[in-house]
Amino acid sequence: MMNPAKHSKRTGKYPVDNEKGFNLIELLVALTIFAIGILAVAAMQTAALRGGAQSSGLTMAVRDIMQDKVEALLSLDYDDTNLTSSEAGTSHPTSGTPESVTANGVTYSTTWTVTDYPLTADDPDDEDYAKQVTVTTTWTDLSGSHTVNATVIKDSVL
Amino acid sequence: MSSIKILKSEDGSALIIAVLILLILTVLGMSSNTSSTIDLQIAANDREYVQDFYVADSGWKAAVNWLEIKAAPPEKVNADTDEVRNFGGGSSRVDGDGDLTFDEPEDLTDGTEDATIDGTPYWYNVTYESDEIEPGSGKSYRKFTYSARSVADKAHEIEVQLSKVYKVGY
Repeated sequence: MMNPAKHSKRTGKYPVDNEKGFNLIELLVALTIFAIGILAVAAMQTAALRGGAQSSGLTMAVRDIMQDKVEALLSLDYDDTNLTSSEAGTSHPTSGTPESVTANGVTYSTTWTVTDYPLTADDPDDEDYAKQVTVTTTWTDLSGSHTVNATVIKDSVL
Repeated sequence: MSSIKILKSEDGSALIIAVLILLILTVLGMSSNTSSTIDLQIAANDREYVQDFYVADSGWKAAVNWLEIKAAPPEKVNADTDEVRNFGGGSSRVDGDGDLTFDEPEDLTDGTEDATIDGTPYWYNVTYESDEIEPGSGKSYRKFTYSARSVADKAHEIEVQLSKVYKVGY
């Protein structure tokens, strides 16, 4: 007759039946080192995710917010109220409140400044010919506050 | 213990396994770190590209105004080319023998830029292409077509065709 308890204690023949383990000290040392290592890897992952979020936020700000606004302003009439200019630069929107767009939980604020532009030395009268438009988009993410801007000339002839 | 016995022994294998798994995770973590760094560089380059694009986009508008304020079609400035305006607005690119003294893109030397926008220089030139009778405008009016090239930061170029009707032969 086979004793079940005795049977289960058998070692060797099948790997599943093998009851040989690690000794406690060995396991504790290995686990401690593993845990410290995993913490470092986790910190690295956080940094990588943060970098990914930062770059996607930057692309969003440049392409979808700032460039969008630049193209919208370029398509306006030269004397549109959104493009009133002065020699020192007029800030827009004139209400003082930046235009906000929220995407992926981040709020992007956009303002623009329109300045009379001295296009070339040949120009007899600068402001009648061109304006310099600078669009600035600002946003804040986990890594802090960021700003991008682009400047383009708006021409009266076109 | 003989060396064979050391190799066969499983004592201390937990540590070795732990270190190996850590090694694999570290390599994975480093690769995701690298790719996120590269992503950031791509996004930063894209920002620079957009900014330079709008500077180049401004340069050809300067060419528009340069043509616009002229009452008569501009004269060619170089003996060998149809350019009516050089990059940077220089008077002539031809030396005494009639040879071009320099060719593009060496034209775009620092200090000769037409203007800078936010610290980014741009150059533009205007080249005569053709002129034809402008229907319905009388014999003394002809439509002149020019191509304007605008280069921002020596890297981004925009070329545009421009037409203007000038009064000629008066």
